[in-house]
Amino acid sequence: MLAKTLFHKIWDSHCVKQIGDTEDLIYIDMHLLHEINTPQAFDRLRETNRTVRRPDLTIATEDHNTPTRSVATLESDEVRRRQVDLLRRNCSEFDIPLFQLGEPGQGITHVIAPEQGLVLPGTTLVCCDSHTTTHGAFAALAFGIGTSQVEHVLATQTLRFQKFKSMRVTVENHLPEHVSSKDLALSIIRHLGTGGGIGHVIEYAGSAIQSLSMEARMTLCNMSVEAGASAGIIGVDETTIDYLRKVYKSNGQSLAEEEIDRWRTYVSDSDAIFDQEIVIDGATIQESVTWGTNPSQTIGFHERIPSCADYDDPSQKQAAKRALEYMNLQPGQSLYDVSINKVFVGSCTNGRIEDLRIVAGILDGRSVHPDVHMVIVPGSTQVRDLAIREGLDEVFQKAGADFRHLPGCSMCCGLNEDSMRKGQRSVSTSNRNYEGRQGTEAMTHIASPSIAAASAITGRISRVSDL
Amino acid sequence: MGRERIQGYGMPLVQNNVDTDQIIPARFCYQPKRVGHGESLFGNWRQDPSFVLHDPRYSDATILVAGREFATGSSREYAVWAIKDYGFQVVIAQSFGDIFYKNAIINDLLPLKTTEQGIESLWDALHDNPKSAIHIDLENEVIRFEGGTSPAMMDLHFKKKYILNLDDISLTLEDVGNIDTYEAARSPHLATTLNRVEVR
Ligand code: SF4
Repeated sequence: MLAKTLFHKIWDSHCVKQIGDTEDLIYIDMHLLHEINTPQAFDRLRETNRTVRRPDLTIATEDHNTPTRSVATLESDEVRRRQVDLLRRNCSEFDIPLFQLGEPGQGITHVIAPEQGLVLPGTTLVCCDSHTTTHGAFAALAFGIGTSQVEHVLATQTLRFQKFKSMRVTVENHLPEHVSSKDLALSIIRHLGTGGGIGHVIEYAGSAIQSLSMEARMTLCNMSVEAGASAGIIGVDETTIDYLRKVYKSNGQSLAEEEIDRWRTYVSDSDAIFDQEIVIDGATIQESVTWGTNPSQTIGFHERIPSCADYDDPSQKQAAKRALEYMNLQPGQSLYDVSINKVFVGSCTNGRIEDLRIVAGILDGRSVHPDVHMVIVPGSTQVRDLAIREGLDEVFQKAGADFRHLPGCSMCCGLNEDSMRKGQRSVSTSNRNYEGRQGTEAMTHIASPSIAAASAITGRISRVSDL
Repeated sequence: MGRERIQGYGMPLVQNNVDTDQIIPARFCYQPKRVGHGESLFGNWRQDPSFVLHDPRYSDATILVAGREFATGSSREYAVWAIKDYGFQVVIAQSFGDIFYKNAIINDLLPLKTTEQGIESLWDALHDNPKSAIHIDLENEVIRFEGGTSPAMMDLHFKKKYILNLDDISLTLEDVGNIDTYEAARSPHLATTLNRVEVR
């Protein structure tokens, strides 16, 4: 039999029909929805007298624009309330299960789907959100789609797609101490550029990847889209299986041993051929922070803010010039020279319990710098409840951090009341540092949870080893 | 003239890596409709009076000419709706973000790829003569403009879909029998959302 990559195994087993030479009709095992990007799909369903084919393979949550302090805030905000209401109405009309703000189980789509046991090896999963790539950590083929495709999945439980290309990024050796999968993701994006992965599914492999926890793998797959990739994916190993066993157990679901055997087949065959191969030495990866306005504009602590002259490519030169202006930085500055006034810990990239534990470990016995407002938003009610059970909330409170009780995207996309003001500068554990992403004319430095915590304490971009 | 030939005036957006957060910033994406987003196009950048959208010489443009990696980032279809609502029918770029490309095709906004050299020549031509027409010939896969030509690159099946103006969902529903068959053979162990868990 022909050797296959993991991606091809999933694609081929989900191909309902080949259409013409290039397009395939692909079956979708799981469809996630949220309040933004979906109302137009339901409107069109009604207009065309169609219905939702498989509400039992569809789930919705409220996350993007929702408040993080109190449910009552939503009531008083007309625009956001209307978006959430539309989702509630559409879900009830079409019998789609929905997690409403504050209900047990609610949270960011990409945090709750794995908690619910909805992401399984060898399956396909889509959502109207580009960071759907997160779920590739479970050896699932997961990618973001637009509103019209949401309508297509709702009506047919399939998608028409051209087969992606495959790329393998092998990370050998181990990451140095304090270097997280976020640093690895930023380094890979820096290497590939924001467009390097366009049209590809990136499979992450190698010893450094195998030693990552599931949370860390989700962070890495989450950021794949920042290199332009359609999806990120990691083959099944014992870490995957242990994690899923725990999920099944805590959800009271039974798990057949033959299922686990089937899951184990979701790895690339050893002689499978990829369209592109990249090998990275994990030991060379350093703690990294973005200085610019796209996630490839990243440097380590031993480097200096670059100048336009450091780039040969004219378009990168131009991008650097614009980014330096927007970020109000001077070439040659060190990261340590950059003072900040906001820190955000959260998002589908780093809003999981492991991230909160790391942050609490650093804040314990220390205080947030008086000039810094540090906001910590759990990715789900489960993350929040675990954090409280473990006493992390008390650590946060004592250190002077602002721990929120309602989960959601919050400062990641600046769609709720937590958005930043003009001229504010953050270290943020989210995934995008685009102009205006966290608020109009606000400046964002993307980094790992440990850098975020260390920076909150010193008031300037810092590492734990600097404390 | 069929859908294989399009002509119009161009607007040069002389920039690479224009992400969807710039095309329509998230805070403008609150209207739950597909139309009415033209005023939000480049919501932040258009605060700047010198931004190309305000240049009266390009006010009749229906073809946006951008650089490479146009519309990467967020999956928001608003990016396509805003560009269309503003009056563009075509975006020419060296490359596109995956999700945007697909969204554009579905929404009848024509995303055309061409070479870096082609983009630069188009920018130059539009700079020298803003009112020089651009002719797109999908059949022969060429873009013609004052002082040059450049390849019009488009995936074959997208091209066909665009020319024949076909609707994806209707096409797929013709294959509903295949979907039924596939579904009947799915493993019973796969997850469903019926028993959502109140994880604590
Ligand atoms: S946390 Fe940020 S990146 Fe993740 S789904 Fe929400 S808005 Fe998107």
